[in-house]
Order: sequence, then C-alpha cells, then structure tokens
Amino acid sequence: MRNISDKDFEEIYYKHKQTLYNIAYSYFKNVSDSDDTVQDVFMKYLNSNNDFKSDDDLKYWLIRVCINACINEIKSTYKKKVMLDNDISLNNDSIKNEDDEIFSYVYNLPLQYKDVIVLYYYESYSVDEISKILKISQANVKKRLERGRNILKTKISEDKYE
Amino acid sequence: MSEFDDKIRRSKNAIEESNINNPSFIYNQVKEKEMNYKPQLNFKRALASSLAILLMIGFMTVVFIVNNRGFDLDSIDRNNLDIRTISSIDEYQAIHNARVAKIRSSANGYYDEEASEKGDTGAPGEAQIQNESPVYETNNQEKEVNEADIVKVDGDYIYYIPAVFDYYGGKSNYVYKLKGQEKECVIEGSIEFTPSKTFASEDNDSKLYNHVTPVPRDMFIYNDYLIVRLDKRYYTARYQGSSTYYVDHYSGYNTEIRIYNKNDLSFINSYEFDGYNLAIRLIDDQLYLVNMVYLGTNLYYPAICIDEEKYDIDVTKIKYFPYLMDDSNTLVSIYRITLADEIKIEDLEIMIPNASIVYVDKSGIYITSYRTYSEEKDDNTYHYYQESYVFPISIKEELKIENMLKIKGLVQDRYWIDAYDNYLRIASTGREYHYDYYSLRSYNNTFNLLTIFKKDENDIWQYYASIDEGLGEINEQIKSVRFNDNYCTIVTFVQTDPLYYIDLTDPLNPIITSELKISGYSGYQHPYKDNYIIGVGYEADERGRVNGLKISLFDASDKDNIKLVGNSLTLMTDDTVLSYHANAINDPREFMFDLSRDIFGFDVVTYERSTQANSYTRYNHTYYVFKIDVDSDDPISIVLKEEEKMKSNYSYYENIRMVFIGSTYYLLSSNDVKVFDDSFTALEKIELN
Repeated sequence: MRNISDKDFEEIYYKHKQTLYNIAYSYFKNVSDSDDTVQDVFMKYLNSNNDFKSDDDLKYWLIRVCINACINEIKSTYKKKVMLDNDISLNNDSIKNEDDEIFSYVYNLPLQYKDVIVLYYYESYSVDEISKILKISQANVKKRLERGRNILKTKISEDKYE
Repeated sequence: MSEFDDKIRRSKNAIEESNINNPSFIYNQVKEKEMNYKPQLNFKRALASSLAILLMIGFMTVVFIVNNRGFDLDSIDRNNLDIRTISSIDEYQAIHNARVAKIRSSANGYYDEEASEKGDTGAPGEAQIQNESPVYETNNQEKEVNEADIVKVDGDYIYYIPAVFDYYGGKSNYVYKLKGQEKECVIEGSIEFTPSKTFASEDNDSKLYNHVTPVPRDMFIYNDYLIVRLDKRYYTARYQGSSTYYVDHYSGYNTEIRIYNKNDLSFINSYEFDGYNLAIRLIDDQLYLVNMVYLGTNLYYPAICIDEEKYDIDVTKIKYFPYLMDDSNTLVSIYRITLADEIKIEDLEIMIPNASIVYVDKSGIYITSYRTYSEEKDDNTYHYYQESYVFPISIKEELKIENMLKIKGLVQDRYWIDAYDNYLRIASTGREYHYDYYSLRSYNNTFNLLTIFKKDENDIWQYYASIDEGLGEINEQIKSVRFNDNYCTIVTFVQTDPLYYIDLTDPLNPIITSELKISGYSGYQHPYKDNYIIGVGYEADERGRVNGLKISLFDASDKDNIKLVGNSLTLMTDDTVLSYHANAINDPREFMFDLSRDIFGFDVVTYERSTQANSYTRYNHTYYVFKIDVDSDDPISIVLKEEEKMKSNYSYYENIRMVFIGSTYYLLSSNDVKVFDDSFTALEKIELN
C-alpha cells in the first residue's frame, strides 16, 4: 500500500472525487456504477507505487485510470446490457428538461469524443491540459472537440424537427 | 462562448449526486487487504482447550494437536446450505487454497463493497423507548444492549474520547474524565495512550523502527470499571534522514480491550484480539466482541493475547458453509468476556464472505454477509444477483450457530434487522439484471423486501413470511427502517420519500397499511412518545437531488393513515452552502435524545461553496439542538446553533457531542467543553489539551 496517512488520503479524495465521479457518470449514467468506479480508482491509487511529481501529475493519472476503468467496464457483457437499459429509459420518461436531454447526448457520444467533451465542458480543462491527460496532441484534442460538438449539435437539431 | 456551448456546459447539472462520500472506508479496505500479507504468528498448532481464563491469575490449558493428513475438498457438496466444522488443519488449508485459487483466476481483483457503504453504524430497531432519565444515555438500538461510544455519563462524571485519531503522527490520544457540576465542568483526570517507536534494524541508507499505535475508539462504564476499546496498529517504518519515512510493512491490526478503575483511572488488565472490530456490546455483565480478519493469500491462524501472553486459537473449531466456501474471505471471531470476579472468555469462529453489518439483541448476535455474482445460463441469458446471508449466533447459553439464512438483496444497516418475540425481521434492498443475448432484451430491476424468520421447536430460524411487492416505486431502494414491536416503518427513495407503515401484528401476514409521499427522505427514524416518529434525513428537489437537511415529525397513531405533523424543518443549500451532512444519520449513537424534555440534537457539517461548481472550500461543524412541539404548525424548532472551530484541518473524523446531567448540558469537542443551562444559555467554557 502507498505510504500515505488516512488524513492525507482524505484530502486527495475530496480534491478529485467529484471530477472522477462526473467522468464515470458520463459513461454509466447511474449513481451506483459511477460510485463503484470512483471507489475502484482510489483503491488503485492506494495500491500503486507511482511517484507523482506534482498535483497535476496525480490528477492526470487519476483521470486516465478512471477513463480506462469506465471503458473496461462498459466493454463487459454486463455493462453493455445495463447501458442498453439506460438508452431505452433515456428515450422515454427520464428526460425531464434540457439539461437531461443534452446530457443524454453526451452520454451517447462515441468514447473518443465523450472524454474531451466532458473534460472541456464539465471540468473546464484547457486543450493543453486535455492533451496531457489523454496523452494525445493538442491538434487531436481540438479535432475531437470539434467533432463531438458537431455530433451534439446535429443530434439536438434532428430531435427538434422530428 | 456561444449559447450552444453554454447549453453543453449546463447539462452537467443532469449528473445525479453521488451516494458515497467515505474516503476512510476505501482507505481501511485497502489497508485491511494489505494486512493479509502480514508475517504470520508463530503457529504452535496449539489448541486452547476452552479459553476459560482467570483475570490477572492468567491460567490457560494448552493442548497440542498434530494432523498432517491431506484433505479432499471435492468430497464436500457446495450446494449444501448446512454448516460444517473444520475437521483438521488440512481441511483448513484445502479451503484456503481453493479460495485463493478463485481470487487469482478472477479478472476483477476487488470485491463488491456495496453492502458496506453505511457500515455498522447504527439506526433504529425494537423500541429504544424514549429516554426518560435526566442523565444522558447512549442512543442504543436495543433496550438493555449497551453500545460503546466516545462519550459516557456515569453519575456526575463524563468520560470522553475526543475523536482525534492519530495513527501516524506519533501524538498521544486521551480519554478524559470530567466532573459535571451544576453550571460548570472540571477536568478530573485523563488516560494517555502513547504510540511507541522502537529501533528494529539498520541497513545502508535507512533505519527501521517498529511502531505501535493504540487509538481509543469507544468505551463502556460497568460497575467500577472503565472499559476502553482501542484500535491497535503495528507497523514498521523506514526512516531516511531525520524526517523522511515511510511505512515498510504492517504487521497487525488488532482490537484491544483495556480495563481501568473508573474512579482513579488506574490500569487493571488488557486483552488483545486479532482483527478489526465490527461490533462491541455490553449485556448485563457480558462483553461481546465481533472481530473480523480479511483472509488473504497467506494461510491465517487466529490468536488472542491476554496480559501480553499470546495464545493461538484452534482452527479445527472454525465453522464454515460449503455453499459459501469459495468466497469466504473473512474470518469472524465472536468473543464473550464475562466481567465477573473470575473473568471468562469464550470464542466462536466462522468463515464467511464479506462480513459486514452486525445486529445484537439480548438473545443473539446476527452477523450479515453478502455476495454479488453473475452467471451465464444455458439459455443464453446473463444474470446478475445480490444475495445476503445472516448468521444467527445464539448467546443464551454457550455461543452457538446452527444455520444461516439466505436473503435476496443487501442488508445495509443494522437497524434493518430486528429480533422480536421468536421472530427475526429483516429488510433488504437490491438490484438484479437479466440479459438475453438472442433477443437483446434486458431486465433491470430494483427490489425491496421484508423477510420474516421464525424459530422452530429446535431453536433454529426458519423462513416464515415476506413482503416482496409494494415497497418502493420503480428504481427506489430502502433508505431507512425502524422496527417497533408490532409494526415497522420503511423509507424508500429516488425522488420522493414514500414512508411505509407495515403492520406486523400477524407475522405470517405482514401488510403495508399506509404510505406517505413527501420530498427528500429520512435516513434515520426515532420513536417519540407512543406513536410519533422523528425523521432525520435530507431534502431533495423534484428530480431527487439532495439540496438540504430535513427533520420531520410523523404521526403513526393510525396505521391506515401515517401522516406528517405540520411542516418539516429544513436547512437548505444556497449560494454559500454547498451541502449539509449529518453523520448521526449513519451513526445514531451521535444523537443526543432528551425526550423527557422534548429535546434532541446532533452535529451538522456544513460544506461552504467554492467558486467552482460542485466543490467546496472548507467545512464547519455546528451543533444543533431541536425542540419538539407536536401541537405546533412547526413541530420542530431550533433552540441552539453552536458553531465549533475544529483544531484539525481534516476534522472529518471529529464530531461534536452533547450530553446532559440533570438540567445542565455539556457540549464536547476536541477543543473544549461548553456548559449550557436548560434554556441553552452558555455558562462556561473549559479548554481541553
């Protein structure tokens, strides 16, 4: 286990928990799976021996681990099924307002666009920071942002005229 | 930024609030798992014949056993729900090997901790009837089953453990003895618990030191004894230079019981038990301890230590269940210490999966455990289940377990279990998924259950009746339960708070007789007078998102029409407050009930909002005292709101407590003691160290 006191861990937990939770929620759209994933990420952190040179290093690492954990989960048969459930429910009664509606489109974005959209719009990271987190070039981040944004725009206007 | 960008940004609001906010739980889970790799105790293959031990004289009979025969595990029927006792060391080793093989073949290394979210922390059950005494008592779940706590009142004296848990800082922890005199308070004495650090070895660039940190967690007063429970951690730290160090390895996480003379605080004796404490209770002169050790990949041999002398526990006494054998990753030890002139210790060990919630009443100890698992069936469907198990330990005569009870879903709080008049009533909640590969259809279901078991003529619990429909709407899960003699009230929640009244007069035919829907939910319910229920929980908006703290009074006098009395009292979030949290909802021992004067109180943590969305700058502790008036339109009103600046920057583990002696109230924190009269006018303040 990492050499860290419970108090120091608590500080790290509260500092990063909400960001990780928001990312996980954008993958699962349910509280329990998102909570489970965040818990898993922090366990991995406590079990890891990585040496983080700065707060940013740690933050980026946690986000990457979280995204990977989400992707692994949704690739499992069980999650494919759960997500199907969520898709169905999204098209019915659970959409209550515009926030819910747009979030449902974010949730349904292809994975490579979802990460950049969530980090950019929900977590207010800059293009430079996102490129460091996802370990891709800034140009690539911009491209994905643009495409993700266009998909959302198209979906929203499609639905309006349906 | 375009309007469209703003819309995307705002859609973050659709993210529901997380249910979990418990870093210490994660931390302890990882730590516990690491403990499994600790160097094992020297196994003497010794059998402590009865563990009948004389206090201070220290007498124990030890019988050595030798058994080297192999054991064929395949001879055991894993579908059998019956109990088995380990017959030999080889059987113990074989079960261990099978479990470790399963862990290593599993792709997912972590267990599901869902059932432990709330932990063994407390809530309602069979009538903890109103506290009519003018002296404070712990808010026990069961009458005559005393729960240990960080504060106890005995006559004019208050014993108090400031909840500052310092495991690594090398600082001492204390138990204070305070004398509560009329309108003032004086410190009479204290017990110091000092961590030790001894040199172990040295290599090229560093020195190794062994550390032992005894941290007092809670206590009892019994006759002339002060009985303190301590978490005791053993670890070796590697020091490089003067200040840099890190933990090299852990070698123990034990529970110690230290007994003192309550009058002069002199030390009498100590008992140390392997493992993490799940529950501790005092019933008459008998102290019950339920301890748990995670079983890792090294074969584990349990042990206890009496007055610094270590004794191994005979593993061939351990009970286990073939049905759960491959997932039994925890060894639970139940100890009964009889506090008589001749101290006697008895023990019982069971191997079960994920030991979690423990409920204790005068007749038994009920230990819960759970498994979540999935399977692909032959018809190309995929199923995901949650299943709980309750292990009833009879304590009437010898410690005895006869069978286990299987329940769908998870039992998430000890107040969800209640033993009453030969019946055991258990609430559970859960999720299940089915997925059909061919049709691509899936079924996602949440469910809430009330299951009743009855003791048969051989004193064995048998399934009797249940309610499996009508509790909760779609996606709703149980949030709180309170059992009274012949009825119970259950709160479920997703967006509103249906409060269900369940008539248990005929245990074979439990009936939901009424339900009440209001916003938010009660996380803890407490009986008040004959037919009222105080509900403490959270307020929520129309989408079910928590946005404040809420205290309500319910009238349960008409079983067909449970109703809200007047208006609820709410502390709502706003531009400055991000959220409110009351830990007493999770650990009801933190409530102060003075119901003979219609008063109750608890500590509220307020998270101050920062400029960033969904984050906070700091949190404050404020103690609230409330007055109940059933005839008022606002039956709950605030009579005291006292903010306390905590010493620690990380005061998550700290909380403020209030107790009373006669008509004087004492507000206790790690900083100081504040004294109030019965109109809650401040009289005096004394500093603690």
